[in-house]
Amino acid sequence: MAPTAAHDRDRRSAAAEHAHRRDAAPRHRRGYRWVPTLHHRARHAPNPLHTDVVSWLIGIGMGMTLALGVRAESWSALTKPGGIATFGGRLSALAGTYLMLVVVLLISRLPAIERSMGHDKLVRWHRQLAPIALCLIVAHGLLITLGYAQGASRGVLHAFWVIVTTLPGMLMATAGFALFMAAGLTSYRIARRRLTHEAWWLVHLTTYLAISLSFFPQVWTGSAFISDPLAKLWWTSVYFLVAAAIVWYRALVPLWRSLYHHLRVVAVYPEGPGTVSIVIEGRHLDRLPVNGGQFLQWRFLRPGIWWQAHPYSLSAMPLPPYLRVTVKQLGDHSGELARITPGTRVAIEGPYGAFTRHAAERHKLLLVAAGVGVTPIRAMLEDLPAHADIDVILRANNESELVLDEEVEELVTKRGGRLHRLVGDRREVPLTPSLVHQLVPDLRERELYICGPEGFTERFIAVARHLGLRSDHIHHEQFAF
Amino acid sequence: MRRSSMIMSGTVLGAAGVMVLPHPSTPQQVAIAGNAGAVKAKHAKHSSGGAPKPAATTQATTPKPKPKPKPAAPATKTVVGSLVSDPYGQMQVKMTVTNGRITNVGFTSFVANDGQSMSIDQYAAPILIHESIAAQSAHIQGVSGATYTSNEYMQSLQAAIDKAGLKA
Repeated sequence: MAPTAAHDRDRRSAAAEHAHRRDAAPRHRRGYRWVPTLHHRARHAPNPLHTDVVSWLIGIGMGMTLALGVRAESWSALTKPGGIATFGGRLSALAGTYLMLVVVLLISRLPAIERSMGHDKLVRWHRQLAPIALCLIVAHGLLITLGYAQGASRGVLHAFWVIVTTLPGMLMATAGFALFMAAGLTSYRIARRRLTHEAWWLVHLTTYLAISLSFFPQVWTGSAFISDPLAKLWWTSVYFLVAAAIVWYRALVPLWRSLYHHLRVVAVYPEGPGTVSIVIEGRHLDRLPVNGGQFLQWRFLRPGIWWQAHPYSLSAMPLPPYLRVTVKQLGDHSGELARITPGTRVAIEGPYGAFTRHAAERHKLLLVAAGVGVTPIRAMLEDLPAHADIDVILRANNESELVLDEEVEELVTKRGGRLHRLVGDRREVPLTPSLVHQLVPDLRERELYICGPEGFTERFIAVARHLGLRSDHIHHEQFAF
Repeated sequence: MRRSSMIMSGTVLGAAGVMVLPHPSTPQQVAIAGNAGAVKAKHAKHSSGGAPKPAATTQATTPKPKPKPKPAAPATKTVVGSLVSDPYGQMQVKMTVTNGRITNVGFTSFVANDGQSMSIDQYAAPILIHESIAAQSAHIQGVSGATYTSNEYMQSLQAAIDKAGLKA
């Protein structure tokens, strides 16, 4: 191993030192050692007001949409046979479609909501609301068919056939509906487990097509739009805004950032068994709007793996011109990490996530990490305000799984905090309220940040709640999406 | 929690805002583009292949289809058909007969109960008018996809033809 600049506290000279070594011995980068530094400048704080504005707008939009549907109805049409079913069918169509657009907007990476809500919470809402939207759309189909059948005194199947074959755009609507159902069904836990992530993603991607397909039948035949140019304008604007948010924030911004920062792997070195750090070089990294604790979606542009995006937290604050992620080889891309060699081009989406210093209201913090979950905690330790009072718990099944703990120790010491290492399996070190209370007696007065496997996170949160910590002082983020 | 109350209040606010706006009342009178003459002109132009009916074309090119210059005045008369309704709307045709031939069909009443029906009606009516003038009869093929509208139309037109004593 080459001698390192571990004790050099100056970030610029550390980078220069590294660059020098790179030129001198391009094949021996394994001795690269990241220099922990402290950042006290508060950066990229999310503005909760933006989220409030978006919430209001979403609500107002829902109200307007429903009202436009209601006022297009007449009493005489309601009292006719099938009138009520038809009316219900129309309203559920409006509510369902609007909700579907909101569901899509939630995951559009709109910074106004992304940065203060956090990506995982938005994904959770996306998952909870999408089935409701789907149910409303199913109800729409059933009720309209029923209403027409009653109105014409014909069978339901006949009415269905008449609707699908005669009304303008109904084939598009039917196709869109089928795509929605496919995306919904493949997202159920049972189906999801049997599909690869990529297969699920491809099916999910077609919902954009489904949403576009659904637009035309609505403005062509929807009773709320057909005779009301204002309603048509409104609906077109809603569709347009959602589409613009998706194209801008999900495609153009990531593309632009990837090109602008021009990222490339410069070193891959082991941190522990099965865990590696990947150092990525790029331009203008001081302009990447990232907070400690955030993650990015990483795409390593190598044949066979370029189309997979992996959510990895930065395991240190950027040290221009370098970024670092630390990755445990898990799941179906374990072998592929070996293909990530120096020189590999990298595309990014992000940074995302609200697991940052800005989530805390208190200055006393407890940071808890299990295994490789240490990465966002490690980055956050550099980014916390100077006056923060810090306790850190690192959990691992054995010493070798304890990664980055020396860097964490260095940062905790510099900040005058306390580091607790809990090493041993579940039987040796059971996670009990008394143990946690012993380690952190003032847990109730702290803000808890926790990152680790789902089971561990749940158990620790249960313990913290048991010890009297309120849930709005508990922050965790999941990467299982 | 705070945000969901914002969304709820926003919904109420948005709904109230739209409800106070005036709205074109429903059911809507179906607006057929132009008069029957214009309709015929459109169809004559659009019919590809087979030659369009020369009578229709000539008539359409004259700006006002109604006044026939030569024959005696009583040759043109207007007959109103029966008022027919179904769950989607109601209709009553107004047929113009010149020298024993159906030269134009319009509507004294053509109401759709909802927007969907209206869009079907708007689409179907010109075709139905064209078909019946071409066939000089109420026995026409109708418009596929507008079964109810077609049936209403044929029924009302048949009543008008019977009333006029035409052999069709």
